[in-house]
Parts: sequence; C-alpha cells; structure tokens
Amino acid sequence: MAVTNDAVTFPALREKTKPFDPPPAPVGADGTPARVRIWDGTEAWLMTSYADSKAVLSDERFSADPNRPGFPEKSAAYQAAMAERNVRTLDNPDHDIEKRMLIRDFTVRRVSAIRPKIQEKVDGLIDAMLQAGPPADIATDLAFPVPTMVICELLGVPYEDREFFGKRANLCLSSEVSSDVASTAGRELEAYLETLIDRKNAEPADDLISRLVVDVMRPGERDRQHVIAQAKLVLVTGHETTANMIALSVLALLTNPDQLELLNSSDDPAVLSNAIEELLRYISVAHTGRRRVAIEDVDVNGTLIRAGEGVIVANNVADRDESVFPDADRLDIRRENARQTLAFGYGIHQCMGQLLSRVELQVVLGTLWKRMPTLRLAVPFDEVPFKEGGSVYGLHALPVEWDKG
Amino acid sequence: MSIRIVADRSRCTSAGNCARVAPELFDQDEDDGMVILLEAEPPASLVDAAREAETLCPASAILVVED
Repeated sequence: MAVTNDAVTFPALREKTKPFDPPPAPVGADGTPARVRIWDGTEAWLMTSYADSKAVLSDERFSADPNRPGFPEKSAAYQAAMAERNVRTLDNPDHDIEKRMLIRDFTVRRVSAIRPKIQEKVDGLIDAMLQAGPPADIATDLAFPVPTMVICELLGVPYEDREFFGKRANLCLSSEVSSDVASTAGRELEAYLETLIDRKNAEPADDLISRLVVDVMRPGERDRQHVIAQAKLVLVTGHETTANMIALSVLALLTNPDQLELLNSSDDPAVLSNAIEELLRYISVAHTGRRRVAIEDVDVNGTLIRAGEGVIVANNVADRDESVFPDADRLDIRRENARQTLAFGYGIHQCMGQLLSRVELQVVLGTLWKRMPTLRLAVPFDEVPFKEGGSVYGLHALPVEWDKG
Repeated sequence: MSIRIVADRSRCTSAGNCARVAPELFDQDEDDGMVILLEAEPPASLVDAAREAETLCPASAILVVED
C-alpha cells in the first residue's frame, strides 16, 4: 500500500499521569481501524475496538507467521530473535499439532496439581521479606521469582541459571535494542538449551524438555533444533509476562484501596478469581498488540483488509472498549464480564500459559495481604519506575513497606 | 428451557477455558488438551456456566443450542 501522510506512529508513549491506561491510539472515522506506522517505517492497520480485535484474532485468514511479507513485526529484536517456527508463529494445521505436544503441561488438571508447590514458594518468599524488611521490593523479592521458579520447574531448567536466561529473554523482548544484540541473546539462549537438551537426553527427568526429547526427538519426529525453538519460546515468554502482571496487580490494588478492601473482605475464591480477570483486563501487560498479516482480502466489520497488509490488534485498547466494558478505565473487581478480557489474546494463539498465570496470580494475591495486612508503597506513586520499552509492560521495582508486628 | 451443548473437537484449540469455567460440564484430555464433553444436556443450574464456556472459547468450538 502507498505511504499515506496520516499514519500515526505506533505505539505511542503512555501519558505520564496515567500509567495504567494504554497510550493514545488512533481511531478511524466512526471507530473504524486506523493506519499506523511502526518502527521499521512500514504501515499497518490498527484494531482498537473489541469487535474488530476478536474478528481478526479468530479469523485464520490472518497469519501469525512473521516470515510472511507484510507482517508488522513488533521490533527489530523480535525479528532477529523470535521469528523461528514455533507455536507462536505457526498457522494451522501446524500450530495445533505443535501445541498438542506442549499442552500436557498446561492443562487445567496439571496446573491445579502445581498449585501447592506455587503456594509453598510464595509462602517462602513472603517469609523472607518479613524477615529481612521492611522495606522490600515486590518486583525482585516476589513478582519475578514466582513465575521464574514455576517455569524452571515445568521446563526442567535449573533455577540457578535465572540471571543468565532472564537477561537474554529480556533482550529478545525489548523494543530498545538492535537486531544484533537481540540475535546474539537469542543464539546464546539456544546454545544453552542445546546443552540442556543433551543432558536431558542422557538423563530424562519429569519435565517438559525431557518429554519433548523422549517423545518427539528420539523417535525422529522432530529434530533437536525444533525442541530448542519450543523450549526457548516457553522460557522467554513464560516469566516476564506473569512477573510484571503480579507486580502491576499489587500496585494497582495498593493505589485503589476501595478495590483492595473489597478483595480482602471476602474469602470467596470466586471474588479473587474475578478480581484477577479484571486486573488482567485493566493492566494488559502485552501492550504492543497482537500482530498478523492478511493472507487474502478480508472484510472486517466493513473495513477491507487486502492480502499482504499487516494488522495490529491493540488488545489492551480493545479491553477498554466502553461498549463492552462500561466505565472501562476504572478498576472494578466486581465487573461482571471481566472474563471477556483479551489480555491473553483470542483465537488459536490465545496464550498457552494462561491457566498457569492465573494460578500464580491467585496464589500471590490471595496470600500477600493475609501475611502483610499493612502493606503500602514506600515511595510516592510518581516515583514508581515503570518499564515501558518492551513488548511486556511492567515495573523495574516496586518498593513497599509495612508495620512490623 | 433446556439446552444442549455441542463441543466440536475439530475446532478445539486446547485452550482449556471450558474446563476452567465449567468443570462440571467439560474436561480436558490429558494428552492433547482437547475438550471432553462430560454433560451434553446440563441441568438448569449449569446453563449459565455452559454459556460462559461458549463465550470464552477462543476457537468457537462450543455451541449451546436451545431445544
């Protein structure tokens, strides 16, 4: 498509005074999709309404394959380090085949079985904070260790290596590094996983990587490179997302005391569960949109998207669609349809770790205030360091304090 | 009003939302994560749960039909 003058750069920066709201996003006439310009100078359609977003994500005429021409990639880093064939980038029928090799570790039953272990870890981390503080940093002391430990256990990656892979995962997801830096980080992760896969092959354990090695690599159904790509995807996307969601949820509740009070005045798991759906909707850490490219001409609620044109689904903006979520900019943990959030996406690529993420959030938010009822921010709100420059929104730190009892 | 649930395994993408919000009606296959319909004709008390599963299914694999 010809370059037009009215395409706005996407994504914009958030307004400083509204760190929980998505940045301003352009909308076409009568709420139709607008054209935006992305980091590499190309243009794409931006879907901001709930209906258009769902329509695109559930329509397999929109491909998630970043190697197709016209695909509006998230960043140079993504292009360099995240474009290999895996469940994130494959279309059907390949997508479902690959997903079913991984899904055993993410089912409702499996995730429920991990819950006691998550509880144990959360209890231990809170014990440590209570012993050492106040103050504490919720991001470093609780929000990051929980999903990191869970993903390590699930994949079979040694927790001691967290600094090595955490740093490199961060670079792969960043919007602020060059493709060289991201590509090196990606290759170092692959080399690390390759060694790990060889170790699992020699001595399989009860974890996802071992199962892939035994079930698909040994019989020759998939090669080692393929197992590396799947493991890398789970490792990279599996902890940064939930970690930041935990930290931002704690902050959102601390700054909305009426909602925190509502949450803590009930022991009904359904109240906590709905609060988490609402926090997912309100915070939406995956804040640079879901990316697709049309593989044929598609009419999306009256807008013609041509084959080869890129589409960005701004799920975080769609989750503030007033026609679906009235008073959408308000955090309302009793919101009846909060479960319809697009925070985990929609369609076949809906987040594979969503059940795990929910359980981690349930355990953390259901435990934290019971153990630390006087928890509060240790710095003024405008000094909380938000992390904006990556595909995952988050916090660099969340300094808190409490009354020592 | 009675309802009937149809779970289309050819559309199922193993997201597990149905088994999460309506465990009385749906289960998830342990090997491939796909939907297992436990109760095709749910009692009135579970009609809302069935509709919730229909709404949340990201692959439109669940259909609630009014008889």
